[in-house]
Amino acid sequence: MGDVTYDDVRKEYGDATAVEGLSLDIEDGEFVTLVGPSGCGKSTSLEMVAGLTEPTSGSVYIDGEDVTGLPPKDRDIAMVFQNIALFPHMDVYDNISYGLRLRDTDSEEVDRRVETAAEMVQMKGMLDRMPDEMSGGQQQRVAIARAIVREPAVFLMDEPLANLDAKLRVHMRTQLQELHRQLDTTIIYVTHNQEEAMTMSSRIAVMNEGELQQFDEPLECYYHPANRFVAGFIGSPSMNFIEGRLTDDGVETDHFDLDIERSLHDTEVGQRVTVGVRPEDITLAESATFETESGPVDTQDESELDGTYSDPIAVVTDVLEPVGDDIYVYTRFPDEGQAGADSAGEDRAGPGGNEERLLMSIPPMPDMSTYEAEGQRTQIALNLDMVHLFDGETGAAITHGLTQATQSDDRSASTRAESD
Amino acid sequence: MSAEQSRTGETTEGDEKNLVERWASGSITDPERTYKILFYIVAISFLVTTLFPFYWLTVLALTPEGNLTDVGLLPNGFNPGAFVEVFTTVPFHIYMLNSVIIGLLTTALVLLLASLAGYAFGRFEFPGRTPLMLIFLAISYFPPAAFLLPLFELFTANITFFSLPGGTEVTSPMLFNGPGAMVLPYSALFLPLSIFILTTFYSQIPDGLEDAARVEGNTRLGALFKVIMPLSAPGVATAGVLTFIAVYNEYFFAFLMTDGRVQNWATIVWGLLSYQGRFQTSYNLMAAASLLGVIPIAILVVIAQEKIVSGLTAGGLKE
Repeated sequence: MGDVTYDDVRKEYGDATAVEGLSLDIEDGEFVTLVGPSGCGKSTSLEMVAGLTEPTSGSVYIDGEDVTGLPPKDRDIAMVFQNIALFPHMDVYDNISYGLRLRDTDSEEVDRRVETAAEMVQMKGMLDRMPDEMSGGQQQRVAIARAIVREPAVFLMDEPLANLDAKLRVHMRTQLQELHRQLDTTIIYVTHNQEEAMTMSSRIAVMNEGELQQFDEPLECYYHPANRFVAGFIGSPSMNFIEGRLTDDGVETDHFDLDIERSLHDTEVGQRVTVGVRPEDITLAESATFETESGPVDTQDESELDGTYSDPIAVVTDVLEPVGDDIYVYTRFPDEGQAGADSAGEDRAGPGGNEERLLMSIPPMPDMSTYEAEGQRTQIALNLDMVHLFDGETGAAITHGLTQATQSDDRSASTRAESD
Repeated sequence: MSAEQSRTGETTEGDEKNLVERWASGSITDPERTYKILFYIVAISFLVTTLFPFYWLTVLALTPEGNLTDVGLLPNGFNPGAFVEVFTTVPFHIYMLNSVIIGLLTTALVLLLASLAGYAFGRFEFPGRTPLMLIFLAISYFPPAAFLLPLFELFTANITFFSLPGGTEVTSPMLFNGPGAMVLPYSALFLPLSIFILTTFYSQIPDGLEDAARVEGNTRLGALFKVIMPLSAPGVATAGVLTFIAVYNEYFFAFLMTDGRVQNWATIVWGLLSYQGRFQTSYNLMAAASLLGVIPIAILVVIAQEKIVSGLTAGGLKE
């Protein structure tokens, strides 16, 4: 059984703290991803399970046993490394069987298990190749075979796909998920790529600056981020943030006001907050268009809007990035004093123009020239169900959605209350 | 002077310019030619200075014992029997065997210790690492003579460490006339070089490989000997060969740490000297024995030269 527990684990390197008070309960058979930006302590955390790094304080348990002081060989783990780390002086068979041979497994058993493992990663005919005769993807498959052949309680993967090219990475991602389904063994996976984390994991542990930010299912992290960091890190393109203040019945920012129709706990009027909204939760306001020289290219119908939308907000489009199934539209707010639908003047954001921008993602419009649509005035609306508020000081989430509270919102609110 | 003129100057007989002038103008237009000539001059003088001693030894060895006066560049006679006589007069093969055994023992000890030290120096950050390395390096430049007297006293059981209550004295071991008396000082003297070479090599092995070995079930030492060392093979070969050659060539301790009898681990040095009798010295046998004594090193270098070359250049490039 491979449940893994971090109990208040702390790791310092000299004066720097790499991991701060990490506590996690990973259940047997889970695929847990540690994700965060570079230097957030995720690899250190993984190495502490592997035994390659000793925690400064705190304990690590594998299958209920305290393994904190044990060397890696006594921990019943296997690891796949970012730089693949196949032994260059051994062929594929020797690489895969290395761990078994060190444990004096009899040779028939070794042969049988190497064959099974090689088959699982589709490397069966290549057992006598040397690592430098293989492509990166093949090498990484051998590294995975080397890990699975020992049938350990826990797999540790430290950015195993980072050195592969984009296409192969997506392919290997699927393969890893398939492998996890077949083996049903705990996998702890480290990546800085939030997309990998979202697609593969049963739960994600988001880390930043050595501290655990949120440990939840991927979609929970996406829809109910615990704080501003998680909100900004999970999801691509990332969430828009606009600074604002709470008012009697809503939130006001320099550019727009939003109504809040639910009661918020522990907040006061005038408190500084950050409004967060994802690009896909912004849409063109009702009947707003992009005006181009060849005329309007799109009109937003009321019928296309579902959910509760904010009042129209005037923006100027800046850059449009078509990515196929979506168009990312970078918009900025019109300059102060010119705000409002009626204001004249086509001038670009002059010096001193505000820095805050909104990125929205809209469905593609086949007959639109993205070039022509740049620098146009238009109006947008935010999906109030999906607007997040974060505390301006701490970044902790205040609410997810500004409309009447639904059940799922209550649930997350209550779990947050518990964790506090 | 233009190139055209010089070319006509070269080809036309009866030109006023003399040989030096023609050569000079030729090399100005075609410097490659000069470089080539310089290369041959350097290479030939190098070969002459290194190979002439061997040639001279061969001449001496082939000259019959009676004709040893007035030996010129060619042997005064032809006596290949000297190469056999070498072994019948003196058990020279046993002296050689002693040298080889002591060389191998030292090499093994040095490689073992230098691997451990190189692993620590190459793969760990610890306070005082650089000063410690420099101290090791300094030791390798100590004159061996400075150690001789204390070591001689130590190895001849003349030093009393302490007395036990019963009156028995615990003295230093009697290593004189044994391999230990040579292997230990050699190891100490030749360790620093090997530590330097291996530190450079071991520090270049990616951490991931060591981590992988440890996760797969090695201890740190296991990872060192099963993964790091094999991957540093050129470095290990270089360190080993250099140590072996240094020990094999060593004169000082080899001469002073035994009494010179072949059963007392006397090495080639003593073997060569034993052709020197009280009334007469068989220079032809000495020369023949010297040539034979070179053979093990020659074989070693031929076998290992590829690794040594790659080892030395790899180490040098990464510094």
